Amino acid sequence: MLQRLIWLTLLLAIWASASAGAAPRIVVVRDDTPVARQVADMLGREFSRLGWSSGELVVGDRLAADLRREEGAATVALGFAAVQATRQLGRPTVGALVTRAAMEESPLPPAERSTVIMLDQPVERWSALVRLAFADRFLVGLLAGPTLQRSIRTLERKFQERGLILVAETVNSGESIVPTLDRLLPRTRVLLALPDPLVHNRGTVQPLLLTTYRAGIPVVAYSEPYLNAGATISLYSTPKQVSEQIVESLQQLLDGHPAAAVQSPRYFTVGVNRAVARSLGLSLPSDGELQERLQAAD
Amino acid sequence: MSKKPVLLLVALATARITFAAGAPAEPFFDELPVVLSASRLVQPIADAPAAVTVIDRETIRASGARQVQELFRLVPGFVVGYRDGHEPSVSYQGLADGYVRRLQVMIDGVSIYSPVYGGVDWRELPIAIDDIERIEIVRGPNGASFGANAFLAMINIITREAVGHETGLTLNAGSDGIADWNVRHSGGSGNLLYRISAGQRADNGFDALSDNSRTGFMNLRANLRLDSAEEVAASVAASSGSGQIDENFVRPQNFENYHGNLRWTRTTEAGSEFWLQLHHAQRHLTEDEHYLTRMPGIPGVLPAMNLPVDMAYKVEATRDEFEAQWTAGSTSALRWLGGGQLRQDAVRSPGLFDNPGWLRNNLWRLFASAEYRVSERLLLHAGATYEHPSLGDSGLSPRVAAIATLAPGHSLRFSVSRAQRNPTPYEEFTQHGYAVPDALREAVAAIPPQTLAALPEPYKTMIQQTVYRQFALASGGLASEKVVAADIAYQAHLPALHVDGELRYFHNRITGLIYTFPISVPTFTGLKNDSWDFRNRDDAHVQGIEGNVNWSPWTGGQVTVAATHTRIRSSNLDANYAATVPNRTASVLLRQQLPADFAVSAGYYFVGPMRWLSGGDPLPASERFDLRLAHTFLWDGHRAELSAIAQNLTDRHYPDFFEYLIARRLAWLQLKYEY
Repeated sequence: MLQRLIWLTLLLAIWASASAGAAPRIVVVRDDTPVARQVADMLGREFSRLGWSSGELVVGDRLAADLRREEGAATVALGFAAVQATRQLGRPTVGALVTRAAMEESPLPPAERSTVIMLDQPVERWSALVRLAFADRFLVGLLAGPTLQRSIRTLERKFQERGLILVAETVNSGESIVPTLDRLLPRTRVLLALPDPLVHNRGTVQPLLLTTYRAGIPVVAYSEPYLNAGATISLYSTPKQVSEQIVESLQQLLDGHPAAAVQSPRYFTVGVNRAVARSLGLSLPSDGELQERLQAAD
Repeated sequence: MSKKPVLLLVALATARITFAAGAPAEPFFDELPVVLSASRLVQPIADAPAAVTVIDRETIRASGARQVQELFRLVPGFVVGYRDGHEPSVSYQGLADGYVRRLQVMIDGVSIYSPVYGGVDWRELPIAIDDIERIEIVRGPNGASFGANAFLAMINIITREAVGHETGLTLNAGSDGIADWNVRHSGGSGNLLYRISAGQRADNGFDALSDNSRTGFMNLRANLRLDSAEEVAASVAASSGSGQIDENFVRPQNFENYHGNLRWTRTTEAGSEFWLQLHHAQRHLTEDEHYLTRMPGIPGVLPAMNLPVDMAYKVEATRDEFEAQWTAGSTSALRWLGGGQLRQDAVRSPGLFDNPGWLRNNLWRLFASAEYRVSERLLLHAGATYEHPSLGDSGLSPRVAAIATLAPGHSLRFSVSRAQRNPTPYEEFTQHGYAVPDALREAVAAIPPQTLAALPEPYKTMIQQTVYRQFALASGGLASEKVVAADIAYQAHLPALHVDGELRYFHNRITGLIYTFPISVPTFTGLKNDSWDFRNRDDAHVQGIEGNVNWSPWTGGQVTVAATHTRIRSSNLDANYAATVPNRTASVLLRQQLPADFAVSAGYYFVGPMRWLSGGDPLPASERFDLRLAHTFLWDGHRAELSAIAQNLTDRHYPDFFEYLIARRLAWLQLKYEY
């Protein structure tokens, strides 16, 4: 009797794992933000195209209970709160929509079969972009708030490897941005805007863009809204591109292959604000050309 | 089995704490306001459909100019003259008198062209020179974009935006009673940014005249961001001052000016922009003319008398404008904009118009322009304004232009445009003069009727006149002056060689020029021919070549050269328009950074022989050298600059406007402190 039970259980286990391999169930846990919802929707459509089943859970009071009920083969966590909440589930997990700053502030405990896709573009990609877009501008300015101050040395070194000089000034309050820029801009030819909530937010963007524009200095920024606001070039990953990478990472994990604990965005978009570029007298390569050359340089 | 829920709870608890305080993913996706919208972006000169000169802050600093009007000496084709110490005339391509009314002048796109005389009273500008971000000058008609009176040229003074956290102080003191100060501050944060500036400028004017003046001013602007797509900008400015007028006799002149502006802007993600703007301005000028005039008398009938003339001469003007503009986003090869404006001017001056009430001068206009990039090598422009003024003619002012890129950095521009200049209320309605003073009227009434009847001519007619003196008497019915202008220009923009330049040939045909001509008016003192009337009578052809080059040969050094050769031909020889433009003008500005935080700049200005209309004397060619030496240093951790400036360094005595107005050297020290 016991022997039969063991065989049955074994057969069931094999059957269960076989079906999991055939049509896995993905649990998408997401933060309650518009972009997380957008990516979750895109993932949902992609999963049904692949024939996978999926369920969506939103971070909140009921998450723990919902997670206990859900039996998925793998988890996707969208947003930092979701990543933290799903960290020790023991299932393959792909986290995304997480900033480097959040991870530095609250380091995640190690977890097996887990990968996190950051939103921050790798430093090498920034230096390559500046080199490709501005052939004759070697002095790159940077305003570093508390979030970036730890990374200045690394950034300087990586930029130097490409023949660029990074000139960084620290900023400790929103009020000091304009005076700091007045000091910084005469020593630079391009201003790099890397995510740092103290330096770049809805309140500071207007004085920052007006001051850099007056000085004739183009801004290279990290998001599409910043491009529309008046940055000359932006390098960013769209929700669609993030979801592509999520699906690829999921497949990798489900196939049993290992994945890096932290990944940089694999797919990216280079946007150029033509009106601002023209007004600054810059002749930049076309969007498509910049994108291709940057992809090749990767 | 029992560990898992505990771990989850801990994880969840941690998650909630992080949710509240951690850095969100939102920086990458957070909505940001559209800051560099269409109206804030400067069009590159090489793409403009007309000849544009931009004077930026560095040039303003290097020029050593103390007041805004002095800057225009650097622009090819411009001549700056002074009727007296505080009444400059800024003209382009001649045809100008003391009230230059064939140029449109704006501050931030709002016209400050006088509602009464046309032209601009430069002394009344409610801004400090340090409030200026840049000045855009269109050399040539710009009626297609800005309508009436952008006839020979257009000047747009763009003031600095509020960015917060900037404070500055400037002081000038020197020869000729020069005493200026200006304090400016920008503050605010988040959604509300503001900038305020206030100050005073004073000097003693020319030695030959009692023409000292003092002007106090303030301006305040605030930008309130309603959300990422909407912004409201408000500004208020005022200036008031006094000056002495020394024309026949000395008298004080006082003025007060107020401007208010409100603009609501909405931008779309695609880069389109729509704004609505309201503007109100008020001007009040008084000139107390009290003098004694000698009436020679009629032998045996009326004794000679010293008559007191009391002309408390007051001019009031208001302007109200409403304007709307839509600029389409520029993602494709086609960019366009369109809009409309309604303007209501009202002027009142019993002394000028012999009318106690308000005279109205209204205008509405519609405008549109488009730019189409046919290919990398060809850019086409087309634009027009249709305007309907109450003085002058309704009409269309179109322009077409083509810019061909011959090679990278080398382009050729060809443009044709039409513009019109509408008559001013002064030209149309003036009845400027004064009646027979009371004392004299009573004396005449006391003469017995038989004596009156027995008077011989001309006394018999003279004694019946009620007008004692008539300065101007407009017959009215004026039409707008019209210009058709064509030009072809070669532009080079070579950043590798650090050179920018333009060489331009222009040919303008002007018709219907309003000629100020002497008329005879019967007055108490006889049939005098020193009154003026205005008629559309004259034509002129203006042709010439303009060139300018900007070259930075080495770090810290810059050379700017501008030169023109202009000729006016007119069949109306009595007007002598040909002499109103100097055949040649030239300006050179050299700048060099020196070690130890010093900087030097030198200017040279040459103006060929010319004459200002309406009474200006023929002036010989003049040359002038300016020099500026500046030192920047840190004071209490903040940037300060001390400079010594001399205008007309070599103290050349050249006449300005009138033979007796001799220019001489001015020198002053300037201290600027910014933090």
